[in-house]
Amino acid sequence: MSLPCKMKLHRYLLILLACWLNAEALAGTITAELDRAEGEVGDRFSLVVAIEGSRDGELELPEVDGLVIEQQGVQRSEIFNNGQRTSELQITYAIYPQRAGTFTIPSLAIELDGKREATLPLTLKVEAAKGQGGQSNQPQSAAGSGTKNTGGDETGGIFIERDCQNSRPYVGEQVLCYVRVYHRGNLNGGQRLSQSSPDIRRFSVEGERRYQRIVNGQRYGVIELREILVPTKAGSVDVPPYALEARILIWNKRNGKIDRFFDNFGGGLFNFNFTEEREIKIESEATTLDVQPTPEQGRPEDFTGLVGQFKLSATTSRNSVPVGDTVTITIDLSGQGVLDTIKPLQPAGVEALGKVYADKPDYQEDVDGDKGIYSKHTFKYALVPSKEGSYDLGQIKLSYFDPVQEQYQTLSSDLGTLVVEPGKAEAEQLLLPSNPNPLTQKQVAELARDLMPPHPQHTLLSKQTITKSFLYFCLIVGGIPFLAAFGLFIFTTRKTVTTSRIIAKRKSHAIKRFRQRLEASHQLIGQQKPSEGLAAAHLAMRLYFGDKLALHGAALTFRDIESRLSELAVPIAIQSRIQHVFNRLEAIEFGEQPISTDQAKEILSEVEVVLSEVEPLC
Amino acid sequence: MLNLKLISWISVLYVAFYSFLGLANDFESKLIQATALFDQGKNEDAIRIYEDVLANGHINGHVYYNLGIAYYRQQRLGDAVAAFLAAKRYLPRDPDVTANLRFSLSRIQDQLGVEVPSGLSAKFVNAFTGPFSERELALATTILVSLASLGLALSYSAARFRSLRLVAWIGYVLPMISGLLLFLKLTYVETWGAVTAGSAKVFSGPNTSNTVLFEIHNGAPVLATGYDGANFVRIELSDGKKGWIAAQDIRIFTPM
Repeated sequence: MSLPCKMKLHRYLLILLACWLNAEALAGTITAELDRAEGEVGDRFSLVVAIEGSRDGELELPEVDGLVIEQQGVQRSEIFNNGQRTSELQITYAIYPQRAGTFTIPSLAIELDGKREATLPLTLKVEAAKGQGGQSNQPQSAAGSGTKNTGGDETGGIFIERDCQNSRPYVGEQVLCYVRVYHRGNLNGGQRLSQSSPDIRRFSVEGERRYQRIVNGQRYGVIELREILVPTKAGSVDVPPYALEARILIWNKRNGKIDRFFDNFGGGLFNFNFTEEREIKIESEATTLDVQPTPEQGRPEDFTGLVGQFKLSATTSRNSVPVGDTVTITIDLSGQGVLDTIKPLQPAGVEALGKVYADKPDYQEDVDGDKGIYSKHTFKYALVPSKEGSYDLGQIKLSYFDPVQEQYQTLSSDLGTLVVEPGKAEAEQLLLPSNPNPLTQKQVAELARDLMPPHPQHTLLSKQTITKSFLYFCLIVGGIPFLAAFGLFIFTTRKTVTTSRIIAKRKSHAIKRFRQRLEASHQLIGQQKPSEGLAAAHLAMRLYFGDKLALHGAALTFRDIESRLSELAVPIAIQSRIQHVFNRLEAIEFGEQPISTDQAKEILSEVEVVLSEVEPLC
Repeated sequence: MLNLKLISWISVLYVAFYSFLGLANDFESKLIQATALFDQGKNEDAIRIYEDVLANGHINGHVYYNLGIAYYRQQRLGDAVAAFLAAKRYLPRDPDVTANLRFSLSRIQDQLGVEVPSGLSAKFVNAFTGPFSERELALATTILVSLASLGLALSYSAARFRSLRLVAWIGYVLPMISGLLLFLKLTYVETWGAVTAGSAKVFSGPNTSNTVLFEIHNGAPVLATGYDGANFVRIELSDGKKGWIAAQDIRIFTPM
């Protein structure tokens, strides 16, 4: 072959190669891709098949036992690549595994551009959903185990299912329950209705899972929640249903004749759907747990009902401390279980070493759906030893029941030995300067707080309520003076009233008595005894003024009555006349002047006249 | 020469005086024993004796105080708070009681105090009756009545003390005021207790089938405002919350 022929051959071969390659490049492709290769029963997987090129025929999806595959959507597009226009078809499938296992989605084949193309097989690994035991999690009916369906139309097809992992737990053992709310896309929110029971403690696990599931041939959206139950007593314990106050959307259509006519043409444009929101209450069925008591065999004496799996550690901040300094004892109890009601763990016998100050316990709790309830309780004590020496602080012990191993465990942690050295306080005191610089002084730091000391014995002896004896005491101490004062008040008042009455009576009868006495004077004068008669008249006058002016009248003189007469506004002229009469009578009575009967009568009549003038004025 | 009549009267008074104090002698030996046990750190034994003494009618705020300390040492925070609250009723101004109550309340889980929200009139009454115990008000009333009466008696018995009369009559206003405060204190006595359970539910009614309104914890102070006669007590908290709680979950020291 000549060189030019060889070159032509090579040229043709190159052209053919190029054409072949180009043909290869221009041929259609089909690819299949899963969104993920592993999952659980109940999950939804997505398979996307992309077809490029002109196809001849439809893609047929083979059936896979254990998988439900549904076409979700188709997307068409045109791509320009290197000046070439190609069309691309993308088909999306939803895959719902019905059981656990490893599934192989076989190659999907189709004729593309005259050539048969196929995808590579895909492997899908499905594990059992937690709590399902690998079995089908498709409820047997719309009202399956743990569900309560109040009627499809009334609840919009929404129902709640609850599955608990363990129906025969021990008292205090954690039980994980799944609560699944099934809906048809018409759930527009809701809130849980709390229902409590004294026999069960409930702990909600944060977070929720959402997926879809087919139940009796219908697809439901599922909201999966978790909660952990801890029974507090043995026996048959009813867990209240999980209740939800939900807002559901109900689509309604007008259903007139014209509306039904237009339904034949799609309806949606002419027969507007409208939704209304309704509030309903849905609840699952109550769950009954057969709670077992912890076994009596092998139960330690110090067992207080703690159930779970725990760790205990007890440490001291230091092993050697001078007298008066503080050492901190920390006791940590943690593990799977609820520790909030546990009594404080404290080292025994350390109170004999000195003062012990208990710090506020620290409690932390973490509720995890996978791991359960993990809690940690820390107790701290500040010990201030007061005596030198080496002391064994002893052990902290705690017993609990492990429900996994079904046996009791006893934890212990040794606090070790504490060496208390002689205090440095005295030695330091000697070194201190006698006049420390106040600028270098520091505030006394507070190490701890404690209760105030107890009150001395003598303060305990007396009763502090109002007892009978105290009441008697008050009545005596207060009542007697009160009665005395009241009695004096009454007596004084009565006396004053009586005296006033007497005075008033005497005053009103004064003139009458005076006239009676004056009559006696007249008689004496008539018996030729003028001196005696005037003496009697003098007495009568004094008694008269005594009665009138409330004075003692037997020995009254004018001076005694003068001020009272002035108080009574008796005119001066009358007072003068009274004085004149008094003087005359006194002169006659005490002067021993002889006086005749006529003179005596004259004086008597003067006395009568004066008194008759005074009478209306007093 | 001895006046036998005077001696016999003095003897009668002596016997009468100590007969009033006779009850104290019955409890004195028990309290001595309790104090000794308390000092030895045998708190449970001291608690038993204190409770026995209180149950037999020897009500003393200092006993409640020491009892509270003993409870605290036994980690019975709820009982300690209840005892300190009882002590405060009889020793309202005692700084030790106030300090220990405050210290105990700082240890409880719930943020609560020992005063409930009340109206203006209640606050006004509490402002005057709060700082005094019932016995102090009764004693004050007695002494003021006695002094006013003595002054009045003096003013009526002798003329030279007549000027005291008006002062004595006005002096009766003071015991009337203290007597009124005593009446109000006895009428509106607040009964405080504390939660002794680790965690106690409070219901909307006196039955566990009612709604759980809230939960309170060990040591929380509660004001008892009613009783259903069976197992539930109506309570009020310092933050205004109210409800019914099982009687077994709280401790109230009620005097006989």
